[in-house]
Amino acid sequence: MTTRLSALASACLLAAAFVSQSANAQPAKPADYPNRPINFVVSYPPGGGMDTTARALAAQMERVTGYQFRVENRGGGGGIIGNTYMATQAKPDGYTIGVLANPTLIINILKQGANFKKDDLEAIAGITFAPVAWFTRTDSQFGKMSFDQILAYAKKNPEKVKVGVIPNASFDMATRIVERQKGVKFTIVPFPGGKPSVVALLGGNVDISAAYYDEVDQYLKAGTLKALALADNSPAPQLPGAPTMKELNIPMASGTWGADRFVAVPRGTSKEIKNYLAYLIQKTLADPQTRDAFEKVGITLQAKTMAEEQQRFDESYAAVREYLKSIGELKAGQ
Amino acid sequence: MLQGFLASLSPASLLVEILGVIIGIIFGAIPGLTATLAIALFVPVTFLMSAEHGMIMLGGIYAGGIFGGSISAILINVPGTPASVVTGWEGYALAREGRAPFALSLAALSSGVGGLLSALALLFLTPALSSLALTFGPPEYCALLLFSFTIVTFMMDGSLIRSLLGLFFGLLVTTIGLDPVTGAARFTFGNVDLLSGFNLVAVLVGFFCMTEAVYLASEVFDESPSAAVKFGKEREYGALLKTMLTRAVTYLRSSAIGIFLGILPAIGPVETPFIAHTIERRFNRGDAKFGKGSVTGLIASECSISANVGGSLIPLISLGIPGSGAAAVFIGALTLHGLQPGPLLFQNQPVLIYTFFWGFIAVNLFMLLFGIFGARYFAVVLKLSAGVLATFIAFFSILGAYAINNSMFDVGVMFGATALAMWLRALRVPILPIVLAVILGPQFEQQTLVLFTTSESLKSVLERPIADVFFALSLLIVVFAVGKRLRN
Repeated sequence: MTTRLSALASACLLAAAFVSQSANAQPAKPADYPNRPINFVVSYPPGGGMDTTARALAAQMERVTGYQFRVENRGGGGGIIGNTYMATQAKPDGYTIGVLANPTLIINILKQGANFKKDDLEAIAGITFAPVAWFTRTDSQFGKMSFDQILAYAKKNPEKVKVGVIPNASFDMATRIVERQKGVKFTIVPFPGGKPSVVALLGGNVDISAAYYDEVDQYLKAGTLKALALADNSPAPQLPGAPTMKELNIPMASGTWGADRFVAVPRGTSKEIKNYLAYLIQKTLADPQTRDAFEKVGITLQAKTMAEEQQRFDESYAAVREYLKSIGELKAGQ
Repeated sequence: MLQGFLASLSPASLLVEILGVIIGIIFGAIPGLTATLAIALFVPVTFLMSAEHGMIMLGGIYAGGIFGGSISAILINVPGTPASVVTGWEGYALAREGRAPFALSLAALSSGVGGLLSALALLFLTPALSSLALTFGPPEYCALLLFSFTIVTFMMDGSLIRSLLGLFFGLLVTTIGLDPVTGAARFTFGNVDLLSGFNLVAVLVGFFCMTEAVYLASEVFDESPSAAVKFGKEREYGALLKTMLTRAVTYLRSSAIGIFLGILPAIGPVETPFIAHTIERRFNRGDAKFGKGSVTGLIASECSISANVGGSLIPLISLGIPGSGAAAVFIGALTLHGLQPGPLLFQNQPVLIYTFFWGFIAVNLFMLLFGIFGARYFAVVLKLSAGVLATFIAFFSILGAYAINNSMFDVGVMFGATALAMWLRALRVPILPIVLAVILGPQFEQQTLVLFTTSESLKSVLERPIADVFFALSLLIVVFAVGKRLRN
């Protein structure tokens, strides 16, 4: 039933993307472009979710467009090195394209003082958005509680509930927003990645882990873990039982605290190339075979057009900025 | 299980098994090119195959790559992959005694035995052993890492102060980059490339590969009589068999250590031989050659690395947890094949998993055979002049450093590490404590951090028996080592 629902939901999204696309006619193909393989730059090492996304997109783009696409990993520093490369060094010639993730990129600019600005990159398409969610072990004392009950418990027992997060990322910030809005205090335990945090949860070293759905999918199906809540305001098709922040009356920005995977080009890329690329990506993402290929690697497509993605970028940027300002961690001059 | 066994013996399976091992050995044997790189490069190739053949091929590349690194370590003292550093100490010393064929065959045999034992554990004990990965929490990791630091620093001959200085210098180097809690940049001086710290592979390639190339080149310019290794003529299959039978305990012990460390998600093939080698040293106090051409030491190192590869596949398949960089790429490859490693993979795809397990056993057998009977063909390397060899090593060191992140910065790090290694050699400061600190430092910081955030009291840490044993052993070693030095 749930799969049918999620299929239906994706079909609707795809249909919406398709309609909005077919409204604009196919833009003219720029002269002599592309005449060599196009590189997708990923700011993370091979093997992770971003890498999988970029590789799946590259394969589908090749199938649909007939052009060649390559994936180039520039990992390190939690994404900031590759993001900086895309914003400051990549040539705006249409052959170096970033498959990037927000809000990591926004946090690079606003908190970590990266030496580039928001306008150095232009989003041309959205691939998918996965909100952060909180998970716990079903056989633990919190496995029997709802998110509200856990918050009540945490209020009575400050610093008793241990929450595993990746610091300076959506996981960490969404958890702290819940703390502030509800006036509770967790013990926040930092981990270098989603997997180590989930391992600690399974091993009983933390009580709750903030993670993405695809990192714990298997454990949810096996019944070892359960989802407690979503750090977003609209329900996720993959986590039908998990309440949203809106349902829990916790004010939080929409579509921000999670992984917004999108495609961007360096500033200065010519308008013809940008529009043509955006058209090719929409065409690929709207193809039913592409959807199946992404589903096969555990990614539910939620395609967004250039205008939609740029709007989301702006909104997320404002939301992250407001949050960092409120806790006094906004980098000077931002 | 039987179905999987038969599938793993089909002609197509045999082909990918052999192909994987050969590709792995070639990548591993070339200094600077690692098993991780080989897996990442060949992931797209596996899309042309069925999922199980793809998995077997990547398993073969992984296992072959880890063994391949030992070939260059033994023949020219240049570890082909970071995992072969320890093998280099023992194997190269043996090679200089004119026993290169013996050392190569023994390495292949030990690698094969370690790999086979770990493959058997993978086949029969995966469900039972996978829970081990979860019982090891922050207290255990901290204690184990502290134990490794202690044993290497205090067990070394030579100045204790110099070893300790090296250790702390190495630990200091690993603090460069993002603070794991606050995300604040530490010691980066505003340089974006420094945010992820110095890349471990780049540092190790500089320490061991480029440095060796420079010394080789300087020999050519000095026209000094080169201490070139002669590849012995004799076939020592008898000696090989005898060595293996008389050291059965070492094989079992090192394989067990390798499998166990492999299951632990935080310890990968690079760290393993250091720990296995130091533990084996404790059981062989009489062996004066330990660390300088000991047969037992070579077995311990090779056996534990290969066993680690199989061991790391246990949590990878059953829990979806990678134990090393190569394993992380492996998981990515499985995901792209539409297979999500985790508790359900066994239930949903039993034939595929058992085909892979049997295939992994076959892979280790092929590796063993190639190593023992193909060892003489690797000796071609020794026929090259030192100048050619130095050029070749330098070229691949640069290429390998660049290939990690497609970044020239890593090449700079590699050259910096080369300069540091040469400087330290001139000062007679041992490099090993620094290497160990650089390898284990980040993990140590991370685990200590989680330990201090999550444990409520000292009591809750002392209630963990495994951790207590390692803490106590470390303390004993310090007391004895310091006492012994005071008496002298």
